[in-house]
Amino acid sequence: MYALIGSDRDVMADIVESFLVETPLLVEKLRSAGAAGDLVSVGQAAHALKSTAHDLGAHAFSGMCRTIELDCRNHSKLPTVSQVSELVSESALVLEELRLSLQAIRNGTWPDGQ
Amino acid sequence: MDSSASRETQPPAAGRPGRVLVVDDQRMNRLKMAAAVEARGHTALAAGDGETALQMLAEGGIDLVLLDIVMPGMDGFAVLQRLKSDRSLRDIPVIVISALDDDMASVVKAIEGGAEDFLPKSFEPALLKARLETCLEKKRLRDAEVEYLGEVARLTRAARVLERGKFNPEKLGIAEVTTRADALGTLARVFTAMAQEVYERERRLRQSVRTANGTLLLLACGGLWGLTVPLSKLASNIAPHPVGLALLVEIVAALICLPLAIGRNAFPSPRSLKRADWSFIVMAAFLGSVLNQVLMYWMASKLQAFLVVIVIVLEGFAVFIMSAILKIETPTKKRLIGLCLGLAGVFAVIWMGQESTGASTWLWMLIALAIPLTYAAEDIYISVHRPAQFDTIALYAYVYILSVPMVAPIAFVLDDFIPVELLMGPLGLYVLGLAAVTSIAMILFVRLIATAGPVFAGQNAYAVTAAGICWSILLVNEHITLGIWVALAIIVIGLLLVEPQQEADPEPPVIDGPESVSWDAPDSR
Repeated sequence: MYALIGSDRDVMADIVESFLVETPLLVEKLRSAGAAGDLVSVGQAAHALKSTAHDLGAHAFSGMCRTIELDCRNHSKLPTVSQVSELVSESALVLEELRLSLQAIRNGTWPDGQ
Repeated sequence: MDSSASRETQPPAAGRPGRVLVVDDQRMNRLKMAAAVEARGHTALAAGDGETALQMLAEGGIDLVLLDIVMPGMDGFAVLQRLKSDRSLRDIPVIVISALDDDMASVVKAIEGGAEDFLPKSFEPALLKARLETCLEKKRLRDAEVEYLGEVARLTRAARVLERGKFNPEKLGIAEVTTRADALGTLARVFTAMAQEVYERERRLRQSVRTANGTLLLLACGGLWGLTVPLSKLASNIAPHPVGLALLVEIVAALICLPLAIGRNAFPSPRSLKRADWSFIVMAAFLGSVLNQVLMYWMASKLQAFLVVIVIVLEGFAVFIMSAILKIETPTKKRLIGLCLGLAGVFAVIWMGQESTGASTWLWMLIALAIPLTYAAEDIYISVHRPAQFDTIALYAYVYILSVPMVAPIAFVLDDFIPVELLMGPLGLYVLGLAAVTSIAMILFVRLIATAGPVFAGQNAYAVTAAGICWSILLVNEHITLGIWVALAIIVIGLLLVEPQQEADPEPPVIDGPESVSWDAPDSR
């Protein structure tokens, strides 16, 4: 993605920051919609999380979101409690990793220092 | 979207950069896509929802849309449907963004809904570049096509204008099309050149018709008015009462015009006249009757008839100078030469006339010089202030009626009334003739001013002079030498050099477009 955006460090920082802000909100939206039985909102949240996580290299997290999205769309199936729990745990790991990456971007040590 | 100095930007492959609208509810995606677009040398704008996107599109200037399908509220399909149903927006290409591997049905639905292409969420930069360039090039071609069709429509409208017989090239509305370097531009230039040719031909024809009409009116007017001096000379020989004569002529002229105007149902009631109408009537009565007629009849009683008619010819010169000062008409070299020729002829006649009479009449000639000035003032006044909505006969009925109370007090003060018993004989006929000739000539004269303008109408004086001399020979037995006939010929030449007033429309400019011609299909400019 870095090459796609023209190797612009500032934009990269903006993107990571945006992910750090929006992801917890989307995860919470997914969790509460799942508890409320709102299939559409669960699917939308999962869809949004899936592509953004993939772009930033969080493939495992992205895969979990994809599974939940497909279950909602194709099987009308809400995520289980364990699925949601795993998703929340994974999101926390991803967010922590990206916070460190953001620091590195701002310091100028990313991507070269990785 | 701010561009960073550190960003690696590639120039667009073909043509000028495009303006790309990124529509996605996720801020991160908007940032990513916008940066990717700008890294490829284009300008990126972003919208976070469908409604905002449509508002931005309506403002114009967008060349391409990158549209996410899955959005809360108004989704990508709804945006696409609104876009394609709007005539002003439907030509903007749309690339839908979607995850190909699990959403093929949505992609197919979007393309069936009018999307040009799709991009997977995770795409290679080269793929984005290729899709952007292809769609932007299509947009440019479509824009060129729309512009071309627009100009074809303008040419078609111009053709309809020509069909209705309007040939003024400036009113065809295709001036911009004529600047094109392609076949359409050539067609527009040919169109305009042909329209210009026809327009010029029609202008010249109208000019010729106006000259012919003006000349006929001038000759008729001059011929009649030329009678007034010899008739007033004959009347003065019986009873030299110029003011009384003028009074009688006004009364009889009013009695001629009033029934004619009423009979034609053209006589307006006094209550319907506006202040401007009354101003004109009062002024025309004063200039025409109190000044012109009294002065002329007075001079006719003191001088030979042909000398008085010759002095009248100076009116043309006075009108020309007054019109040029008031900027009513354009003085040209040709007109000036015409007037000078006429003047030269007049002075030759006066000089030869003086020698043949052997009388010293320079003092009366000097007073008589006031006549052309008052006639010129009357000409100009009529041309500027005549109420156009008025029937001419009705107008002069009012003028002659109002002249009576103006002239009567002067006749009373000077004790210049003509004895009634004298009217039973030849004097009565002269008065009747004078009234008929004056009223008919005046009506024709007003028509002449309306047709040919005051400068041309002012040449009426030459026609009056020529006719007056002829009538003086016939009616008063005055002797005219060969020299005077030659001088009269010079006066007529001078008359012909003064043309009617110019057209109201100025000449349209000659179209001068680019030289190169191409018969190829429309090119994108």
